[in-house]
Amino acid sequence: MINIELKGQLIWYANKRKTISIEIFEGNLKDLIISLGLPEGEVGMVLVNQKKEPLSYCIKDNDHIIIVPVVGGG
Amino acid sequence: MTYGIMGRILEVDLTAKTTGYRNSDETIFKKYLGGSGVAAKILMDEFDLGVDPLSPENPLIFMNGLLTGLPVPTGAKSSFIAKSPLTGIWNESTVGGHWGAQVKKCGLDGFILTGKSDTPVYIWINDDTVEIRDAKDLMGLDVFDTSEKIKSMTDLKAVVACIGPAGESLSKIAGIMIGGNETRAAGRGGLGAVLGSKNVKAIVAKGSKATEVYSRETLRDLLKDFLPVLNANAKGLHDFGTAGGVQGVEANGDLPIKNWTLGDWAEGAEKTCGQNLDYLGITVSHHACYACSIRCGKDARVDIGPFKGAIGHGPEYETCAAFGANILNDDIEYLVAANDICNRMGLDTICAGNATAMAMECYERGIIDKTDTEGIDLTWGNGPAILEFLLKLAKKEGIGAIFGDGVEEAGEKLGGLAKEFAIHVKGLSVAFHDPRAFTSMAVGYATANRGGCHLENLSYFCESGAFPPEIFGFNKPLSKHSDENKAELSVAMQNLMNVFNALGLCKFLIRGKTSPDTISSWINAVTGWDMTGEELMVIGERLHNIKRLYNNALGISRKDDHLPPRLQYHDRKTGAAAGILPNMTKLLTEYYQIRGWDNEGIPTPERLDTLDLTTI
Repeated sequence: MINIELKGQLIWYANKRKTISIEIFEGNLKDLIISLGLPEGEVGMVLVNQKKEPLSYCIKDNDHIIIVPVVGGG
Repeated sequence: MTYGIMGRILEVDLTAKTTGYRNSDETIFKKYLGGSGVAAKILMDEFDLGVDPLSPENPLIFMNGLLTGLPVPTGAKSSFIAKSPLTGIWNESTVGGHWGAQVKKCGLDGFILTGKSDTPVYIWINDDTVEIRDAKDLMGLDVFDTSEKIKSMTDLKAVVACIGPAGESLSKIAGIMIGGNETRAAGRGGLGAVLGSKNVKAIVAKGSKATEVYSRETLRDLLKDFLPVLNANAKGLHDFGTAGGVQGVEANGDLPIKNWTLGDWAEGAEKTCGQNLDYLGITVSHHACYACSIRCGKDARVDIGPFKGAIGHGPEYETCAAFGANILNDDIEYLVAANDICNRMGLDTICAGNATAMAMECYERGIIDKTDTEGIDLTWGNGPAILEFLLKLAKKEGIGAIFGDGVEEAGEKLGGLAKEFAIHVKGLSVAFHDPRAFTSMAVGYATANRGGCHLENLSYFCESGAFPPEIFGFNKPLSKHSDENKAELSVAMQNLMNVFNALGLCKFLIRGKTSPDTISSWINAVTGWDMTGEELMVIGERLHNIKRLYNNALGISRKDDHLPPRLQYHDRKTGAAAGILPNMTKLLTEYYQIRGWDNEGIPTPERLDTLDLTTI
């Protein structure tokens, strides 16, 4: 099981869900972002178990993943 | 043959009601790039800086960037430049839409307005013909009606830059508004009041000339691979506009809440963002500035207030923060209506929003009451009260007479504790990105040449991952909330953003991970020059310094380079940046060292020599 937290405006790409749990996921963070339907350009940072990881990080069972959007505004 | 620029600048003497032209030499564009860079050189060389900003002696310059109006991504921006009545120092106010491109089609790189007309007028630039026309019948009209009426009297395809009632009342927070209800705004620094002080209601342009480009084929080739990257990274901007960033900003502790006192407002942010505008069907369509594929502009339906039923420009991020979080209003319909009133009246929403928040805090503390507000209940988040307040603000009537010239003057008028509630740097209300979240913004705000401006360094994009600084050669580590390397980041971004302003490029171009080398390759394709990205960054440094020299001449020094006390000393108790305060002494000391300025914030002769600014 992996647990995912979506921050900021990213919830709108997941029917406004702020947390998502997935039983089994094989792949890296980039694969996860694509499978969740998040535009990659909107993702600013991904924390895995409170540590910033690159999108090439391979997801492991029990990972707690927080996906933070880029900061925009004008 | 000169490429990229038109080679002439219009001069209008409003006192004598005469017009003429001066040549704009390519060499000055090579050194200062255009826009506010060229304007800074003209102002420093030719005009008295000590004048009253609202006197006939204060010139108002409009200048296109080198790449404005060309087929270069986001090449829509241009700048109005003058000594600001709000701050009394340097001001440049950039604006997009189709204005700059239309002025360029008239064969102009810009224009300079001097003097003051004895009666209200508008200026009609119709290709090579320039007329100063009577505007008595336009006085009192809002921005939308002014634009429509003038187009009906000139050309329906003309583009109008005008002031609303706020500019007419010489409100120091009035902007110059472009394109009627499309409403792009040269909002900051009160330049609407400068235009109003000259008795000019509007400037209208319609032209037919093309700009010579050195190699359109090379430019096309260069853009082939670039545009898909820009469009992919800017998808959120396209879908929801800048307002789509409200929640991400809040999640980072970057959103000002309740006049900059609170640290989190997640539920409110979810209600007052661009995604919700879209979800509720309030956003009805998208529109783009000239040459822009992002199309971040939104049209929104107004469902409430005095202009109920109208369609106007949808609220940008800054406006959502201004009339949402910072005044604790989570009713998006009132937020949209407040935005619409500001657009029609010709008010800068950042300054008007900060003024509203300050007024609400004064009301809560009993510094003002219903006697002062003529019955308006300025309780936090009171939607109808916000709209009533803004209408008075624009005309400087009643309570608007206290707050209509910005928060610094309101603090002076009210005295005592009220000064604490005035959130500004050098008189300009701070834009809605909290420097307690992204530390580089702290020194950026403190040293921005026009005051509390976020666009002069925009480094929160770097700190948050939206614009990796490695793109412009900055490879030092940046830890969240740390002060380390943040002054250096701020210097580099200020230099780069000066380049953007002078070229006429929108700041959102950075979402294409756009490097100085990429931009210089476009410049070379347009002009036939041989400029490198490195040279471009030196020009950026030159531009920041020439504007600093302008301010130094008016007495600006280290004593002025600070944040308002609330942002410097008051930590917030909740949110993603709880407890964070920037170390301003460290940041500023490092900043001056990197800039080559002395301890008082004055550029050293050696640095000016390096930048070829010794004759300024």
